[in-house]
Amino acid sequence: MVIRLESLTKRFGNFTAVDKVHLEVGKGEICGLIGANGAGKTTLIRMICGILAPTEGRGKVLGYDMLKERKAIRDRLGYMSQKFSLYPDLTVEENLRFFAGIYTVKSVDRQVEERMDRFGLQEIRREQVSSLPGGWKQKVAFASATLHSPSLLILDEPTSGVDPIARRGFWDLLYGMAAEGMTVLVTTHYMDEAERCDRVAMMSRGRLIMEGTVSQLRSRSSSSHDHIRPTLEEIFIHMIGEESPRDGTR
Amino acid sequence: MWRRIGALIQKEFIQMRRDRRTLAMMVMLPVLWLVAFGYAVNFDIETIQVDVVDHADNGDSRELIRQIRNQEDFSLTGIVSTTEGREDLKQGSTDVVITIPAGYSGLPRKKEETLRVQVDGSRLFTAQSALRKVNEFLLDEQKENMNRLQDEMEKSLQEGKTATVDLSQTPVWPHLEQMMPPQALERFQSEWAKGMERQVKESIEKRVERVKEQFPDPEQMKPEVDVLYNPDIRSVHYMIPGLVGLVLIFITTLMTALGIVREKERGTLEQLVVTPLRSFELMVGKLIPYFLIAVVDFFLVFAVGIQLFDVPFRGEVLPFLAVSLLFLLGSLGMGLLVSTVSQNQQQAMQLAVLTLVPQIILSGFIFPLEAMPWGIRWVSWLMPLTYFLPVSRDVFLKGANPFDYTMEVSVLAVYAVLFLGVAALRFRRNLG
Repeated sequence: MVIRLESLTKRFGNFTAVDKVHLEVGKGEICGLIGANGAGKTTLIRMICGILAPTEGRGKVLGYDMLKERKAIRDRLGYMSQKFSLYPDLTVEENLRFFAGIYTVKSVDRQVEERMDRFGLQEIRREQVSSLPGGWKQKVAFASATLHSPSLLILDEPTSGVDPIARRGFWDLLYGMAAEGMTVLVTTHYMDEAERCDRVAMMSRGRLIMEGTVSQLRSRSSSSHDHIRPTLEEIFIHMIGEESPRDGTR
Repeated sequence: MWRRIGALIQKEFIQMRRDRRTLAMMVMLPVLWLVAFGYAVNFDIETIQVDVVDHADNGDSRELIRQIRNQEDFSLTGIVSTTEGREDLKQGSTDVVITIPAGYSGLPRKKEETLRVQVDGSRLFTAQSALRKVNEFLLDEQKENMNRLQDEMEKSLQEGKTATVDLSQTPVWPHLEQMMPPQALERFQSEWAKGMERQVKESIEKRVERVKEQFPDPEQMKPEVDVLYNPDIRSVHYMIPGLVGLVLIFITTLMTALGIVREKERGTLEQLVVTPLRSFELMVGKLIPYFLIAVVDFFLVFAVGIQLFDVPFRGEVLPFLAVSLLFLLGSLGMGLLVSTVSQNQQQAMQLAVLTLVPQIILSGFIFPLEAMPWGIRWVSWLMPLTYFLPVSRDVFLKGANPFDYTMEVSVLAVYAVLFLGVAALRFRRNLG
């Protein structure tokens, strides 16, 4: 198991953002994390990355203890946050070189060239990131998060605000990475993306309410539903609706 | 470790190169401040505007007015009436009103004959400058008058010797005529007159001599004043060494605080947190570029201060640089500390200004610490600038060795370690 979380909990004062989450993600899997805004996806991800310390519970990431061996985890982790996190005043190439330096990548030149080839960034290498359109920015961020060939890649809403064609391209790259043995944990609001994941975990109000492969989720909920083969979106709306009958957002 | 720090430093310099405005601000602003402040922070008024109210209108008063006209640092705005003088002072078109009383003579003997000097206390530094200059001028004037008085007394005493004694007018004359033949009498008379004249002259001269001895020499009445290290008592010489410190602490603290909070704001700091970059490396990688800029600023400000304002630098450059760097490290630490408790650039700016501005007033940069009441002085003792100022001033003006200031230098060192240490700890906790 690449990720194994045991009743991980995070409380901010009285508010429980993540409530006793158990989650397992196997090697080479693409795990999709879905849930409404405020369901606790980002908080969970930030704990896995070691940005936030959990209030309770424990977990292992890449076989290392989440709390005690953060350094070892960080060496092997690629993270792309929801917030755009490249240096806007650096060019594409300078950003990549910077992160290569931070990850102390061996043979920086070769690695940076390889990434730029693979992600199709060669013709914009000298452009400042701030001048690029959204889809390209995400691509550069993706490239810089995977420069050091991490074993685990965590992406927080990588495709929000990206056009469908760019999203398709993005997912093709993601599949390529997973095929090389990289484990991926990705959050998304697009159900078509979630359906392309090996496994899907659904969160609501801080709790993990459903988890499994897409077909498992479908068959599990079809018995209690009018449709014979409900779409993931229908399951999502149904589950979330049941969870929070009053406001529907949490 | 050094590769990661190197990558950070390189990135920082690329960003500075791109952001010309900020770079210009970091390098040019200290110089601009220094120039602007250096000219502005000056308590010396070169020319004093003088109004004269002349109630006497006699030879002596006219002589005094002539002297005022001749004085280089005075500019006579006019001979006015009492009310006009008051009005000018109120409007600020004149700095000082000198009222000459009726019946004024160079050496007043009665209270009604003393000069009156009026200044505007609401314009404190002008008033102080004006008073100092007027006092000095009047003291010189009095000296002149004393000299004149002495000369006059001498002359009037010596006039006494021209009185000759004619024997023929005295009652003894008929007896002498009977006793002597006319020729002998005539000779005797002239001999006697000469002798008498000589005697009178001698006694007068003796008297003049004695009076002269008792009369004080106005030249010696003024004490011999010897101002060391800043002979012309120019405030620029006093202010520039302090200004160097003030400008440096401002720029370094602001620059560091804003530079780190900017990464927080942009979200790049969070990205760095999930990399293998350790908080210590991040701190060092961030501080080194700012430190280098601060050193450049130091030399710029130093050179401009000496070149433009003619401030003497009598100490040695290297020891002074060492102490200044210690001071700069403390400022960097302060900036770092500010950045750890601020969420955005606005907060950082406010907090930095909040900690910096009181240092202008309380550090002894303008007002002497000795003049502050105890409660306030305690606050002053908490400020790094308070310890840098005396060292800087003494190195500049007295050529002192900064390391002789054991207390100041050790406090600066403690501050550098303390600020950087606490900031590093907080920085680490912030990053989780």
